[in-house]
Amino acid sequence: MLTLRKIERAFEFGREKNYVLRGVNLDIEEGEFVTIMGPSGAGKSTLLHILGLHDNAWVGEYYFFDQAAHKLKPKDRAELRNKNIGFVFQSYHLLDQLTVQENLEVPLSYRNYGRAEREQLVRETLDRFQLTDKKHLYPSKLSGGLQQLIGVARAMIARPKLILADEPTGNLHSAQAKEIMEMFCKLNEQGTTIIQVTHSEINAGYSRRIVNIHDGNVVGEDH
Amino acid sequence: MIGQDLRYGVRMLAKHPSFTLVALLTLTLGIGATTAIFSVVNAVLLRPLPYPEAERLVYIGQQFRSGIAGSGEPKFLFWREQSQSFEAMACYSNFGGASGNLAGGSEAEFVSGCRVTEEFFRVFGVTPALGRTFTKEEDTPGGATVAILSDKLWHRSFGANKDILGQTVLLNDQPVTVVGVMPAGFRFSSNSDLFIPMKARLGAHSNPNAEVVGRLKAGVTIEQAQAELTGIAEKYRTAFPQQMQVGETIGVKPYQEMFTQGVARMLWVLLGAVGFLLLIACANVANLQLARAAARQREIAVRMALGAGNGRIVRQLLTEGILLALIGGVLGMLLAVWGTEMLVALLPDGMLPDVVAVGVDWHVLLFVLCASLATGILFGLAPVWQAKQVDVNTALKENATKGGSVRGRLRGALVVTEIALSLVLLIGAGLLIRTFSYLVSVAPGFDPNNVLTFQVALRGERYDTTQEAAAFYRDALDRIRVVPGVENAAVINRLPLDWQFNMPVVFPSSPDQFNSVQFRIVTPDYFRVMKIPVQQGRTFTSADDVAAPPVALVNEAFVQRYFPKQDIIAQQLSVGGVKRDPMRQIVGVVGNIKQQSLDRPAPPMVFIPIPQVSDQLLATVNTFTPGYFTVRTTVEPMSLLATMKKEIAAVDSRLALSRVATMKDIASRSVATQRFNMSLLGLFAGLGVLLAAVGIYGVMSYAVSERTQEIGIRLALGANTRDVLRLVLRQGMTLTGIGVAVGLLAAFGLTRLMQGFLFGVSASNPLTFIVVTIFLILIALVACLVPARRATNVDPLVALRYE
Repeated sequence: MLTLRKIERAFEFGREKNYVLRGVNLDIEEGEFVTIMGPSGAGKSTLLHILGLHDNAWVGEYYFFDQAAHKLKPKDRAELRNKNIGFVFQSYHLLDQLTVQENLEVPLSYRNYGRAEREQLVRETLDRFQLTDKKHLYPSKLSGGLQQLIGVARAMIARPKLILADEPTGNLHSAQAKEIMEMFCKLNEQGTTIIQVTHSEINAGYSRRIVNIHDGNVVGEDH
Repeated sequence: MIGQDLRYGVRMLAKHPSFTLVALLTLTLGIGATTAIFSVVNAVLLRPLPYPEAERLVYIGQQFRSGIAGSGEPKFLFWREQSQSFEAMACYSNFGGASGNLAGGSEAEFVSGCRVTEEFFRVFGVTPALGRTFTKEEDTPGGATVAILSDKLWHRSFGANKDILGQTVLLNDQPVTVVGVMPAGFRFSSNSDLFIPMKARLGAHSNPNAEVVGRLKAGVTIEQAQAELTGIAEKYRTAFPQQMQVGETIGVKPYQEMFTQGVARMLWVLLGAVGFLLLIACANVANLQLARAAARQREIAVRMALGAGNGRIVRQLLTEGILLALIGGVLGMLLAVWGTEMLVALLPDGMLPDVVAVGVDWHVLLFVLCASLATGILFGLAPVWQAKQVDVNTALKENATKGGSVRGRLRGALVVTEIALSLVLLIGAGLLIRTFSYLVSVAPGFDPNNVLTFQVALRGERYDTTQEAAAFYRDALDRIRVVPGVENAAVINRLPLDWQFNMPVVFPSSPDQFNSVQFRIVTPDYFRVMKIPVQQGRTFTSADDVAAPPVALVNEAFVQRYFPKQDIIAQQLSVGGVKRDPMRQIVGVVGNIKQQSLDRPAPPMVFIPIPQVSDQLLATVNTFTPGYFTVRTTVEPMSLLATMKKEIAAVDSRLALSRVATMKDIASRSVATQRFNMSLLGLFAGLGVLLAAVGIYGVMSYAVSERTQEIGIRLALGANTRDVLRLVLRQGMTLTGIGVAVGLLAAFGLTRLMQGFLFGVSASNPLTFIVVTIFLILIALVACLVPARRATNVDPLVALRYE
């Protein structure tokens, strides 16, 4: 599904070039549940955002199925991302001024879904994640666990093939973290490919493959 | 404690120089412009006239339902004799022989004089700097011919010679003895170079150009004087029933009101407009303060954590606001001193009463102080209100840029206010711009280009008869016409777009019915010089002399008023009745000519050739409106002035040229008030819009920086550049929309106050409202576009990084 070859990403500080990723090669098959691990500053989140096609300032080759993402224009990359990828963030990043229902609708509005279809998808997603009774509430009225659940629901609503999660349980206590990870497993079983970045060994245990990164290089894999 | 707050305030301002600079610039502009206008309002409407106990001065006139008018000498004499309410009462007139050619000074010159009764100077509480005022005997018919000079004339023509008292000068060839010189500070009207006794008579013509002013006795109110004079009016009606019209009574008004009634409303409108500008400036500074509030929030939290109470915090913030406003006030005052001078220089002639002197006095200083304090409190309240929302615990823990929704709403409300106020100003300016453009596009009925005009007053025994006057005009015109650069020349007693001169005319069908029309005496070439088209019949020729059958020309408005759908050439008229003027054959019709101003319809007019004017009629005309030469040139008209003086002197060296102007200048002067109003309101509106644009830019920039993370999330969730642009623009344009809606409502109400200054456009003219609104929306759109474009460059990676 995803093929990375010789991916490099550097940040420039004046004349100095600081490499965050250097020569990363990685293959991920459709339906996998992969965890990326490594110490702080290893380049995990940077890799995740390259996979999510948010970052355009990298070099190397990136194939998304049979599409050469590295050759696409930014506009086409955005289209590819919108069609296939959903994001879950550590700090949930729900929009405070929107209700639960409206937050779920945001990704759909950026993907040109019609009003009827949007309403139907929101309704289905609220049912699926058992959030219907919370739909008119604002995020600030909800617990961290519930907020992240909405974050996952929002990532899923446009039916992506791939979910990228950056420390999805970093702000949650263990019971809430467990619920979210079980949700990921369930989604994975239903066919969604999941890649998460985490420091937690316990959360990594939910995945079937762990990619270790150190100083910008893939240093090993556990299965 | 206050000292500590002040010290801290000064340090805060010094530490943020760009904020301080922008805030002070905005405040200086707002306070300066407001103070400049207030200086004029203060001088004209608020400050008493420059006479001792000026509040006791009243204007007394014939009161009709339509308004108050001058009363004439007979009524004045009756009122003065009968009334008890006045310490002194006087009659004055700028017409009737006080003006003319003065000889005896350094050179012959035209002077504008005022005929006054002997108590005139007592009424105004003024004593001469030199000599004395008039005696009762001098103010009696047959009394000595004496004069009092203005300080200006004394300096200009007599080199401030203290021996002038008792000397004889020639006014219109008549010897006049100078008995006094007025002090320099005495201002009455620009027409007053000298004063001569009126010598009022009961049998004199009841001329409305003779006006009455009185000084109330101490303790007598205007109402009491009015009640007394109303009774006197009825006594006069009983004694002289022929001289009182139906519905006529006596009106008593504060003298100041008579001076200011023409300008009061426009001045209040301008003060209101500039007040709006000050409010916009306040909103902008408040916005700037709020932009700093994020950083202040943490500082305030620390202060509160260290034990500062609410009152202490409020005092600190208000001290800073007031300090800033006071510095702005001082700078604004300096700007106003300069601005007021410029304003007065730009004021059209006659817009302000001659007696007022515009300048800075304690009223103005008090105004600046109050405006500064109010401004400081007004924009100082924004951070105070913000400070009240501070939760110490949260503010110390969280990122300081978070939690700004309250601040955002407040800033939004300020921008809405700015847009609404700017729209009102812009619509006001738009209406005045359209008025002005309509006015300048109005055809005056003549060609004002390349015409030089000047007045030569034919007064004195040498020009007692029409024959003598006509001979002078003929000789002078013959000389002028052959001057290189002169195409043609003529004479008329009153120029277009200048004062009026009415005379009654009668028709053979109703010889007792007097019809008031504009009356002109002209030399034959006048219509060719002014390029006034002849619509029917013919103009005058040199053959229309005293021996020829009496003839007259009329204009189209005359035909429409008196002989619509009739053969005008077959009609006759007499000026002033057949006892004074023969029946004249109307021989032609000329085009309409704007007389009073471009915004008023052309009045009905009658022209007769000068040689056919009776001596008596010529004397009347000359008393009020001495003849103007109109010279059409092929070169720059003013370049011929020296030659004109030489040619007139060659015919009669004792005559002076006065009121020299090109016809183009006169036409331009006739719209000077509208141009001034338009320019000033346009300037305020421009500044208002600029400040509002800066305001909306600031708010949107702030909103974008506050929403960076949200925009990052949206981009991460799939939003593209267009979505982000739309998101930011929607926020800005929503504020704009609310501001526009409020502004439109306010403008509908407030522009009604301007109805009297508009021409060709109604106060709620839809096109102006629409165009101006679109213009403001476009400005707001541009102001939003810059931060919106910046928002599209938000890098989701950076926006989400702090995670």
